[in-house]
Formats: sequence, structure tokens, C-alpha cells
Amino acid sequence: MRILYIDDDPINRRIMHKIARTANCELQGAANVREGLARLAEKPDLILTDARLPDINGLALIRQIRQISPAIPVVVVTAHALSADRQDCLEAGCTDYIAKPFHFEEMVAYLKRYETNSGSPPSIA
Amino acid sequence: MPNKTTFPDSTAQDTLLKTHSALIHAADEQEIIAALSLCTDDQAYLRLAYLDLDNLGNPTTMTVTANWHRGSSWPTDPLLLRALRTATCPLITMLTAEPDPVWFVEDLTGREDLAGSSLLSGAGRLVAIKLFGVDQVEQPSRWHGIGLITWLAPRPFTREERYLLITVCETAAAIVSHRRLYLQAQGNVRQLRRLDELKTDFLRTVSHELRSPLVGILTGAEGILHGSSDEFSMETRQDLEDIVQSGRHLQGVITDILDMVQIEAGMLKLYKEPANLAEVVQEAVQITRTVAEGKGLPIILDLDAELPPIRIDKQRIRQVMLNLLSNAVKFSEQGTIGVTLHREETQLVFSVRDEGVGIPPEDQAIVFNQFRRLDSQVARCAGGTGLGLPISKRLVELHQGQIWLTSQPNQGSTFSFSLPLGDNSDAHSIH
Repeated sequence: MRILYIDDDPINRRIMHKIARTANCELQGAANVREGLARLAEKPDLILTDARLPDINGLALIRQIRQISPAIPVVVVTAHALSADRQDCLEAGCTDYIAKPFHFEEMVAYLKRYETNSGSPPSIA
Repeated sequence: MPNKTTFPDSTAQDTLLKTHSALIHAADEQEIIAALSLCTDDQAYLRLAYLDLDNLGNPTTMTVTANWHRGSSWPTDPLLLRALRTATCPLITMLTAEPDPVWFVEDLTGREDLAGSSLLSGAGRLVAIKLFGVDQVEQPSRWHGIGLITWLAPRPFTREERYLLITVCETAAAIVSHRRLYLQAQGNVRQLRRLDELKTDFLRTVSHELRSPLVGILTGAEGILHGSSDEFSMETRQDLEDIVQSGRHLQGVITDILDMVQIEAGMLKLYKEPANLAEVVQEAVQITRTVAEGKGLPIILDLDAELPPIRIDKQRIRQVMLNLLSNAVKFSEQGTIGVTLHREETQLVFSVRDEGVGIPPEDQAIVFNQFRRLDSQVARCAGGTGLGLPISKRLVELHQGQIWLTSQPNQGSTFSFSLPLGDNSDAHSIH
């Protein structure tokens, strides 16, 4: 499975890389929306993205991805974890919402289940 | 000063009615001063100024908010919208000492005592109306505005002019006073809105800044433990597990505090959707099972089959279930943990029963309180913030449900909550 991960925090990207490697997935990191949208052409199987990014509001990004590639699931992974943030993301059309800090093994299992379920979101605690 | 009870002639009466009517319908400062102009001639320059008072009720600054001359406002007025210091204004000093609300000066030539007032530059004659606040019963000396009418040339005031201005001054004062209260209220609302936005921004930043570094610490340590093939010494492994455990504890505390703050601030939003509650129970039990069985506590499930869908925020209800389940595991050393989900008429009732330490009657009433006694045995054993049950209570109540407990010390506790099925006509089938 090929994953696109958009997050401006390099530590987060490095750890997510390691998680993807452990789950036998291929991960492309992007530090901002522009980079992320450029990589959309490579047709990833799953997009993980932060809700707030330096260049474009994450909600606008979710809507944009939904328009360009409606079939690709978009999972928000964010430390902006107030209930209003979560609701905004769900209403913008994200497939699932995970609050940071995510857990290493749970995230590995999540990605593996995603691959098995091919697109329908498994639940995460 | 003329006698106020003198009956005016019909022209004066007519002017009086027009001025009153215009004052009462004035929507802003400009219209108030335009209304006042109705009882003057067309040579008059009119200004309305607001006073800022200190704690003792003495004016400190004055702002000219509107003016009027010959049927229109006078935008070139050098004093318009300027805050003037009243300490340097002899007119204000004079008026402060003046007991009558309306003050007439027929000839300003040679009045050295008023010469320094910028309000009067070029004026030969004046009427000043002191505008008292509506609360003047309590604060009789508080005047908060001034209606100032000046003419270039000195001239005596007619009886009629005096009569009209004295008669309208109370109406003008009341209108200005209400207008100021209205502006003040409007300003307060704006400020409250801004504070509300600041509060939300602050919480958002706090949430972000507390959670973000935990990825590097907690998820990072988990990654070293589980993600690499390296073999560690027992000691290193224990150290890493300590980091993970502390990180998870901190994560729980941050989540609880932010949840509680959001609930108290009325900011917690539910994302309700039709759900199969039995599935939510199974998810929560699956998450808890490993820890429970590690303590030798089997979880026994008893769920009604064929339950109708219910509109809930799945994540929040699962959070409540996880909280009750983890409490049951935390406070039990033996026995089983029973989890039930039944339909009772128009509601679904979820229960977690344990055979643990139980809760003494005096603590049962306060376990759902936010600020429960920290010295209680329950709180001491629990660790953490002790906010789990108060948050659960609020979350259930936000779903229009109820939460309660029954307990016998040393025999165990049962925590239950109900959720109303409500009108499910808009809920699509989940099977």
C-alpha cells in the first residue's frame, strides 16, 4: 500500500515513516499542502494529513482532495484535537480522524487493517 | 431664569413638540444634535460631546461626537471626534460648578475666565446643556455629556429661547444617556465575543502544543521498543517502557483536562450519527480485555440481540464505556467483570459490574463531582486526574442520558448509563 503523509513536523514524518516501514507500506512525506497536492498525481492508496498546515488550511485541503480524487481515503492525524476541530474535519469529508499522539503499534495495526479492508476505515482507540 | 410653567405661544409649542418628537426618534448622535437644532435659529453651531468620568464622577476627557450647523453636519469641525482633556477646559470647570442643567452666556466678549476653551474659539454667545445620566437618583452629580450651542455674535436670549432649551434639556439628557448605555452594552458584547474567540484560540494552541511533542516522546519510544529488531538489555527495555507508560499517563491527563475545560466552556460538540451500540460496546471491551485478562479478570458480555440503531457520538460513548471498564479493572483484584446492554422501553442501558473494592456510601454521591475530595481512598488509588467519571457524566448528559451507580463496599460496584432511543426516523438501518 502506498501512503501520502502531509505534516509539517519532521519528527512526526520520521516516526510515521518507521510505522509505515513496520507495516510494510510505502510512505511519501510532504511538509506542506503544495508538496502534498503535487504528490497526489502519484495516486496514493491512503492519505494521512495534519489538519493545519503552514500554507493552506487543512479543511480546505480535505475538500480539495475530495474533489480531485474522491476515491482516496483521507485520514486526519492532528494535535488540533478539540471537539470542534474533529467535527470540522468530519464535516469537511475526511474518512477518519486520529488525535495525536498516535500509538506506534496501534498505527501499524491500523495501516495493516486499512490494506486488508481496502479503503474502509477500521476503528482506532 | 424664566418660569418654566409659563404657557408658550402656539409657535413655541409647535417647536417644542417637533423637538421632542425628533429627540425621541433620534437613532444616533447626529440625529440627537439635529433634533436639538430645531429649537435654535440657523446661525447656531451645535455640538454634542461625551464625557469620560473618573471614579469620583469628575470629567477627565470629553469627545465631540456630532455637530450641526444650518441643516447639515459640519465635517470640517476641528474638534469633531477628538478627545479633549477637560482639565484644561475652563468651560467644563465652570459647568461642573454650575447647579442648573442649562447655562446661558449672552456675551462672551471680555470673558477672560472662558477664553482658554477650544470649544468656544470664535464664539460670542453660548448655551450649554448638561446631560445627566438616567441613574441620577443614585448619582445626582454625574453628568456625562454636554450639548453646546454657540453663535458668532453676542445677543440676548429671548424668553422663548430660554423656555424651549430648558424644557427639552431633560428629554435630551435621557435620550443621550440611553444611547450611551446602548453603546456600552454593544461594546461589552463585542468584547465578550473577542474574549470567547481568544479563549478558543488559547485552548486550541494549548491542546496542540501539549499533544505534539508527545509524538516524539511517546510514539518515538514505542517505536524503539516495538518497531526495531534490535535486542535490548532488560534494563534498557524497562527504561523504554517507563517512558511509554509515563507518556501514556500524561496523554490521559491532557485529554481529560482539555475535555473537562471544553465541557465547562460549552465548547464540546458531539458528532452524532446512527450507530449500533452493541458494536461500540464490543470495541470498548476488546480494547480493555488484554489488561483485564492480564489481571485474571474475565469480561463476560451479555448484550441484547437486534437492538435498534441509536444516534450518538460513537467516539464519546466509547470513551465513557472505556472509562467505566478501566475503573472496573483498576479497582478489582478478583472475580469477573460483567458487561450488559439491554433495551428498556425507550432507552438502551449499559452496565459494568465488578467484584472489586466497592465504594463506601459517603463517596457514592461525590464520585461524579468534578472537585471530589482528593484524600478519598477512591481518588488515591485511581491516580490520574480523577476527571474520568465527571467527564463521563457530562458526556452521557449531553446525550440526554443518565448515569448512576450501585455499590457495596468489598463486594463490588455496578456503573450504568442510559441513552434515550429518541426519534430514529432519520436514522438509516445499520444492518
